[in-house]
Order: sequence, then structure tokens, then C-alpha cells
Amino acid sequence: MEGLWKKGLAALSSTAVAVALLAGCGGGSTNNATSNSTGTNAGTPQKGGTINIDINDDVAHFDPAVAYDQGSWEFVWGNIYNQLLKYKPQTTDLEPDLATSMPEISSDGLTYTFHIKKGIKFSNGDPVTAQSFVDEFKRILTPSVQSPAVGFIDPAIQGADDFYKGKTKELTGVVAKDDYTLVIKLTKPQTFFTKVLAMPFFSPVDEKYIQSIGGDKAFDHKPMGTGPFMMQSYTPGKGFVLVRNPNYYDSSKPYLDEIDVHVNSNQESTALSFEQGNTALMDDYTQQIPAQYYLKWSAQSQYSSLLKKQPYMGIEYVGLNTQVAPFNNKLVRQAVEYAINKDNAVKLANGRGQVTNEILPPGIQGYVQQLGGQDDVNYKYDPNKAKQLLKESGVTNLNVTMIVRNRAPLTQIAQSIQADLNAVGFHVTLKQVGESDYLSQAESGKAQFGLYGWFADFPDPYDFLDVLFNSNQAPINNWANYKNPTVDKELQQAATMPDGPERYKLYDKIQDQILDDAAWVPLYNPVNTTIHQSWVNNYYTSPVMEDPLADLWVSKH
Amino acid sequence: MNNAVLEPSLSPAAGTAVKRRMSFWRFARRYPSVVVGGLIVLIMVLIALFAPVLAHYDPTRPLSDGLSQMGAPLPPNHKYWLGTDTEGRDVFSRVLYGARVSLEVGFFAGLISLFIGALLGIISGYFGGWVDMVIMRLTDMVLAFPFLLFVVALVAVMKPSVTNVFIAIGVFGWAQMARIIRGQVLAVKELEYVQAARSLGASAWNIIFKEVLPNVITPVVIYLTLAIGQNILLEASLSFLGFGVQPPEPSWGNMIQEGMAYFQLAPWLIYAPGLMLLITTIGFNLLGDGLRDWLDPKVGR
Amino acid sequence: MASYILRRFIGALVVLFGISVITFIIAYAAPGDPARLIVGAKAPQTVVDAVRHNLGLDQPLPIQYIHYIGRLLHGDLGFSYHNNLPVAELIGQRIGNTVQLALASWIVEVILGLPLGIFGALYHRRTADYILSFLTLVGMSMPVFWFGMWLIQNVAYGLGILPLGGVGGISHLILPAITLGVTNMAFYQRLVKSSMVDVMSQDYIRTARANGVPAHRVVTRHALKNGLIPAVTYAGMDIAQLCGGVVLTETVFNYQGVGQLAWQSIENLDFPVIMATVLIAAVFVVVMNFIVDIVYSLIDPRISLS
Repeated sequence: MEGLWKKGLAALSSTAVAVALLAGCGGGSTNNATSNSTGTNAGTPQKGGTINIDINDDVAHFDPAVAYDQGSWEFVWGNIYNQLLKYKPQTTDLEPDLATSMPEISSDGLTYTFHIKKGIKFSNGDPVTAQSFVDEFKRILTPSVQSPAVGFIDPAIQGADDFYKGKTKELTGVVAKDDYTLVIKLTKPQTFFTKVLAMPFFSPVDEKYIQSIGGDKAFDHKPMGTGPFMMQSYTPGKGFVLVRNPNYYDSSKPYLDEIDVHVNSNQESTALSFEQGNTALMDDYTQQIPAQYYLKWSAQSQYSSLLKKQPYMGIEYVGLNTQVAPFNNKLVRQAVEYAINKDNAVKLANGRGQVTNEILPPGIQGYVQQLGGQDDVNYKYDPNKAKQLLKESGVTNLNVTMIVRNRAPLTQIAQSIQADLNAVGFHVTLKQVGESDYLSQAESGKAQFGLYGWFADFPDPYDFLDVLFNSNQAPINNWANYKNPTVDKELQQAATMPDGPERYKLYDKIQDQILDDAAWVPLYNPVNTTIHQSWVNNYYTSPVMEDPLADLWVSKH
Repeated sequence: MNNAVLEPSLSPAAGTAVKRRMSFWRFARRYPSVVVGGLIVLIMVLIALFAPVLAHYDPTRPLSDGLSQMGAPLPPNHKYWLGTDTEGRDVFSRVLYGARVSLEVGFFAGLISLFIGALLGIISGYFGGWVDMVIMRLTDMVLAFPFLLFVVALVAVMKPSVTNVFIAIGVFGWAQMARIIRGQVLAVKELEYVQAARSLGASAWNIIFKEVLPNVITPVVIYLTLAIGQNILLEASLSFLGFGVQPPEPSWGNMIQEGMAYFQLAPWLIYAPGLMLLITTIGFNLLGDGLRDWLDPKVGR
Repeated sequence: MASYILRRFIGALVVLFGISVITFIIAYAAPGDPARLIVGAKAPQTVVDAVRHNLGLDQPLPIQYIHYIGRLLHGDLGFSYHNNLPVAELIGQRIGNTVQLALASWIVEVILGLPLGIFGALYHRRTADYILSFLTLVGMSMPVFWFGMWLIQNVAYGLGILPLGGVGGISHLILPAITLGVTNMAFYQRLVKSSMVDVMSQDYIRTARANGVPAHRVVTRHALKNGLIPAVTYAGMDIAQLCGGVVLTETVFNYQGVGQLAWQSIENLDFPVIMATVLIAAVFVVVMNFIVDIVYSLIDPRISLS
């Protein structure tokens, strides 16, 4: 019923980002623009035109310091706001955006110096300076703003903790050296820090404007930034209108004059509107293509040629709480690994997913497709082996409760898993929960197990392996309550060591260990299914960023 | 809510009115609703009781050949009479088992409402004064609540399960019952022989059990029948919103909810449970209406 | 009389107070931590604690309640946890839609219910009566959401003439109004029928008919006039309840009204919005109850004595 990654509070589905299916490559520095562009880009881009888009639910936040879900990032990231760095279209490679070049990084890896392009203006005409960035860092670290991004820079940036706790008024680690030079100092080296900065949290903001409209709460719905689009009007519950930002620094963009965004919780009616030629595009960031339309369109040639499938940089998995009975027993966890038929899960998603045996998703550097390790951790469906492991474990109380979000196809998949597990001797009770309840249940550390999901914030193994398995993240993000001192030490090492093959080898080793301990049953990498009108040109999906609204142009139709 | 319809306007003596004997066919001609409604209810009860015998497949277990290659439900065929659902389970078997949940929730929620409502209604009506006032304000409160929201919130707090669903429905469904019974008690209290008994010093409980209770049984039976129908609908609504009976346990409401994603491609998913729901509710409403016609001389004249 | 009005007024206040307390307790007991929900899963515990403190959620329940009521009395409904908008604004955006739908549905209920009731009374205990009664019974027995889905599939989608959902103009009102109208018409049909049957069996009507006054004149002159009274009083409560928002219909039709907002706020555990929507629905009913009581007592002074 709902969009696949429903909005808001589900920060874990935060950056559901599409991944190009990179044939035989570990992601990273690839440029395969041809393999996943739409093939309908005829002619030269033309300026002008208006498109209609439906979204499943109201955009929760337009304030870049607060927005942290897929539905908000669709419009905040790269559209109303932009940042120092951005990802090259269809890659996981960074390039300068508001910065003139990639940052100068000191030899100890602690100091990042950015030079900011001159002449950049906010859409209201106010100039952008290095201070505009400092202001945003300070906003994030101001408790009343309620930014979820605090964890990305506190304690990573010097002085952040003191500022957050109100001990100082100055943020010593983020300094505007002059109007066009921004210096950021870290407390310890962080290999992936530039990727952190590319997230929309760290957009320049106009503090003068924020004060003029009445402060942070008002700013959440009257956004004003440096991006190619600006908001013209907004009606809560109904939708909003984005128009071209006349002050955007790249005068060639955007192509579109206007984007009309409508809130419509009824996917079926969006699909019908698409058939009628009204809605310009549908995908998991805006309005998910409903299952029955996906099946119908797949079978009709005028639509099937417009359907595209791109795996996400994300994963759906069964998380087993390693500290709670009966899953505190490794043999029981391994039994679960063998008991679940992952193909069924993908079938229930109408094939909109690909089965996986590892934690890292395809497209991210470190993804290996076939795991190594001493023992085979590419568990295959084998109910007899599962029964045997359960017998070996000697555990007799196999009554367990599984948490699942109240949304198709997850509830269906959970029921299939339930049937699989019951077949080998478990007695599974399902607990369907709403999106918000889901979070609090899972992170309580008490839930036995659940059908969970995780999506990359930025394309680095850290965002999966460290955030989800470091014992210091338990149980808030580490829902498996996984605690392994060796893994902790290796994670610490991998986070700070220089980027390169050695680092990914170490992550590989960590992955093998976690799966040998069977903390997770990786199920599948979901696939973003998209469709767009034939007259919408230059539509593509990127591994990291969401829809390229500024690059779209429409031909006469 | 809906008080105008559910309140059987009974004269106090209705319950004791002696019915003339008449042949079944004459009765059926005069009170067709009782017969038709009763028959529907009887059939549903039998379906619920004998679901395990009638069903061909396990209602909770996905069938290995229950889905198409693309993961779509199968249309009705000679093997799966009502097709399969989004999970690849036999819809016919699920619809039969769904009857159990619906009747269970409808009946037990009705009983809980009846118990609370009868207790408060009798106390309120008999003792009057400030007790009456407190109870009646409480009744107003419950009636002023957006009922569905309230039950949803309550179920959310208690965790959804069959038991909690009927408790939640029952706990907030008593207000109507209390009002009806209070009205009956007030009327009975005024009857001469009751007045006489009171003046002769009969104890309150004595009067309540001997005089009041027999007089409220008829409206209670009628009300209960109608309430069961309402409760069944309410359970379906809760399940539809995801706060009712949890999968894989089939309930007509959660079957419709799951089927919604395929309403064009697989309409049988919403028609099969929807029609069962409709027929069952019609059965209880017919029966309740018919009983009122039959037992209440005022309306039935 | 004045003392009766005062008594009823105090009673209404007590009811509203009780409702606010019960809602508050249920919301407080609900699973999920609002502070955690606001900042998302990845925020460190210190941020969560800070937010909880900012919102006063770390204080004991009675204190929180007193603060809430204090703000409420100043007209401050607070801010949505979900998207930071003022709750008053969220409701203001939607209440108009809900009232429109309420009136449209009510009109359909009456248009269908009244004639059915009148015919039912005229043909009491004849075949036509049984058929009509059965039809209204079917309407009353249908699950609202199921009937709504059916209309969407067969009328909006099948015929392609009406929108599948949403708000905006009369065309968007038709299907949800029919959904509510058909499922609720039974109330009017029954009220009108039973009171008209009552009236028509009165001696003076019988006499009139025996004296050769045409049936339709008897109906319009006497029976209808008297038969409508209970329907009119029921209409007050009915409209009040519809104005409080209709969760299922608004959800099925993606109708942006208060009912949909209430439902979404429960899903999001958006506590300030839950409180506001429940209270508003209750206020409609309580106020209408109060008005009906007072009007009744003016018509029939005996009531105020009881």
C-alpha cells in the first residue's frame, strides 16, 4: 500500500539510493553512463516546461539539517540545496560542487581545507560565504534544531562535543578563514569524511533569512538554498511547487521551469495518472509502482520499454539478536541461515530484488559477490541441515517473535520466513508494526529477531559494517546486538586506515566473521523499479543521489 | 453512536409477553427476517466450527505452486476454488477459517459490552442520584469518542491479537448497552408491583434479580444480536488498518487489506472475504431486526 | 431553565475533560519513543535525551498533562512531531475538506434514506417494504472500506469517469459521499419509517383515510411532518460525527481530511496531532449534544425538570 521505503521517521531507510548494476566491478570509480541511461534521450536538451510528480506522503522536512529520509532527500539533496561536493552522475565518485576543487587534506589526515566558488548566491540573492557553511554546522550541533546528523560530526570534528553540550559558543573545528576558505579539523582521521560532507546535512544556509522568517521551525517548511530549484508554494498534505532558481550558479540548469509535486497516498491512482500521460515518472523515491501495475506494465510493450530496474545500495535482512535466547546460541542462528528460502522472498517482491548472501550491497566498494573465509558462509537453503543444527544446539524452547513493518511486500515475506522456520521446528509469532513502532522495538535491544532493512547514507563499507556491527552501536543501530572484540578492533582500524585494497580486504575479513557468527541472514538487495514518460529525457538513476530533477528536460508531446 | 437504530424501544413488559403458538410456516411468513437471519447465522457458525473439515489446505501455509512465476496470485481454478492470495495460500480455506475469527470477536466483544453495560446500567438506573450522574457522564464520554480511533489506539497499546481486539471493542462498546438497560430499569422501577415490593422492604438486589433482570433480557438479546454484527464489521475495519488479527491468521479484514494491492489483477482477493463479511453482517442484522419485530409488540403491531 | 443549561454545560465540560485525560494516558502508554522518532535511528542517545528534555517528555505524566492543557487553553495545540508544522495549521488545512465531505455524505444519506423510509411506511409489511428494507440492510452491513474499494474499482477505474481519490472539487466528493451515504442511509430510513408507521396508526389518520382523504395528502399533511422529527434530531448528531472525520473513507479515497490526519498521526505516533484530532472530534459531538439537549428542553419544558 505504501511506498516501499516509506518516509520520515524511518531514518534507517534514509538514503535509499539506487545502484547501477555494475557488471563485474566493485563499484567505486566506474563510469558506466551508457549502461543505465534511459536510451530515450533524443536531441539536445531544451529549457522550459512543467512536470507533475506524485509523492506517497508529505515531505517530512525541507530543512537540510533535519531532513534524513528518502522522501525529503529527494527534494532537499541537489535540488533545493547543494553542497561542497557531489557525486558525478551515475557513479560513486565525488566531484566539487560549491567548492572549487576537492579539499586539501593535511598529511595527518586531520585538516580539510575547502575553497568555495566565488559569486554563489542563495535563491533570494544573498551571497554565500564560508560562514554560510559554518552556520549550518552550528545549527546541526544546536540541540533545539533536533538534527539527526549530530552523530556524523560529534565527536569526529574538533570542538563539536563542547559546542553541542553548550560549553562554548565557538565551534573550534569548523572555521571560516576568509569569505571563501573553509577549514574543518577532525579529532582523528576518517577515510570517508568527504562522503559525509557530501550528504545534504552540510548545505550552506542563510542565517539572516532563517531569522527573518521566524527561526528553525519555520525554516523547515520555507526552504531557501543554493540549489537549481526553489520552492514557490507549499500546502501541507497536498503538495508543493518548485520553480527554477534564477540565481543558480550554473546558468544552463535546470532545464525545467517548474515541478508540481502532489501528495497522493493512493499508488494506484498515480499509476492511472501515469497511464493517462499526466504523471511524469514513478519510482521508489516518489511513488512506488504498485505490484499489479508492475506486472501489467511488464507485459505491455509500450510500457515495458520504459520500465527500468536498479538495485539499491541497501539490503533487507533478518537480524538475529545475539544476546537474547534462543538466538544467543550460534547453532540456532546458523540453523536460521539454512532454513530460509531467499528465492521465495524475491518472488513475493515480484522479482524486484536480488538474492544476496553478504552484508554489503552491490555498488559499494568492498562488495565481493562470493564470500571467502575458512568456513563457507554463503549459506544455501537446506532445511535438513537446519533441523540437524537445531538438534545439535540442544535448545528446546523455539517460540520466537519476529518484528516486521506493516507494509507490502515485507509482511508477505515475513510470512514466508515464518512458514520456513516453522517447518524446521521453530514456532514463530509475527508482530506487524507501524514504521515508528518498528524503530523503537528494534532498537530496544530486546526484540528477538526481525525483518529489517538498511540503506547506505554514503557509499562506504563503514556505513554498513561499523554502524551496524560495532558493539558501541548496540542496540541503537546494531539491532543484532552483535558484540565481538576482535571485530570491534578491526572496524576501528578500517575506519582510519588510508583508502585502498588493504582496507577493503580487512572489511572482507570482518564480513566473513560476522556471517560465520550468523548475526544476520542477508536476504536480498531491493531493486528500484522506475518508469518515466517517453517525453521525459535524460532520466537516469544514480547509485547515491536520488532523482536527477535538474537534469531532466521534456520534449514536445 | 447509531443509538437511534440500535436502541430497541421496548415496553417493560415485553419480555414477559406470552406468545401465541403458531406453526413454523406461519411464523416464517410473519417474521421472515428471524428465519432468514437465523439461518445465515447458523450456517456461519457451522462453517466456523467445521472449518478444519471443510478446508482443503492449511490456511496459513504458502503452497509451493500457489504463485505464478512473477509472484502473482492464481485465479480461481479446479484445485484452488477461490484462487490463491498474495502469499500463495488457498483463499477458500482462508475464507472458511476467517469465519472463526469474525464470530469469535463479534460474540466475545458483545459479551464484554453486555457485562459492563448491564452492570453499570442497572446500578445507574436503580440507584439514581449521583451514582447515576457519574455513570451517565462516563457514558457520554465514551459515546463522544471517535470510536474507531480509540479502539485502534487501545489495540496499539495492548499489542494486536484476537483476544485484545475483542477486549478493546468490548470495553468501548458498552455505553449503548448501559443506556438501554438503564432505561428499562427506570421503567420497571415505576411498575406498581415493583413499587409495592420496595415499600414492603424487599432488598435492592432482590428486586434487581427478581423483577428487573427478567424484564431486560429481551432488549439485551436483541441488542446483542445487532452488536455482534457491528463488532464483526469493526474487527474487519481494524484488521484493514493493520491493527486487527495478525497474519498469517486469516481474518476477513486482513484478507481484504492484503488483497487491495491486487484489486484489479486479482479481484477475488477482496470479493471472497468481502462477500462473506457482508452476508454474515446481514445475517446478524436481519436476526436482530426480526427479533425486535417479533418480541416487541409496540413496533410489531 | 438557566440552572438546567448550566448543569448541562458543566456536564459537557466534564466529558471533554475526561476525554482529554483518557486520550493523554493512552497516547502516553503507546509504544515508541517520540524523541527517538523525531531525530531518527542514527542519532546518538545524547541527542535523544536532549530532545526528550526539550519537549518535556522526561517529566511525570500529570505534569505533562497540566502543561498540555495550559497551552491548549491559550489556543496553542503545539507542533507536529512528524514534520514540525503547527498542529492548528495542519488541522486548519483539512477541516474544510472534512466538513465538505460531511455535508455531501449527509445529503446523500438523507436523499436515499428519507424516500426509502416513506415508501417503507406506506407499504408497511408488503413486498415492496421487505425489498427496500433489505436493500438498506445491505448498505448498513457493508464494510465501508470494502464498498469504497468497490466503487473505486468499478466506477472510478472501470468507467474512468471520476477521480480515484484526493480532494479538489465536487467530482472528488461524489464517490466518498456515496460510500458514506449508502452505508449510513439505513438510520434515516428506519427512523422515518418507524415514526411514520407510528403516526399512521393513530386514530386521526385512520379517520382521515376512512373519510376518503387521498393517501398522499395524509402522508404529506400529517404523517411526514410528525415522522420527520426524530430524523431531524438524529441529523444533528450525525453531522457532528461526520465532521469529526471519517477515518476509513478518507483513508480509502486518499481524501485529505481530519480523519486521514488522525490515522496518519497514530501511525507516526505524532502525539500532539493525535490529541488534537481526537479532541476536535469529541468537541463536535459534545457541543452538538449540548445544543440538542437545550433545544429539546425549550420545546418540551418537562425535560429540564427530570
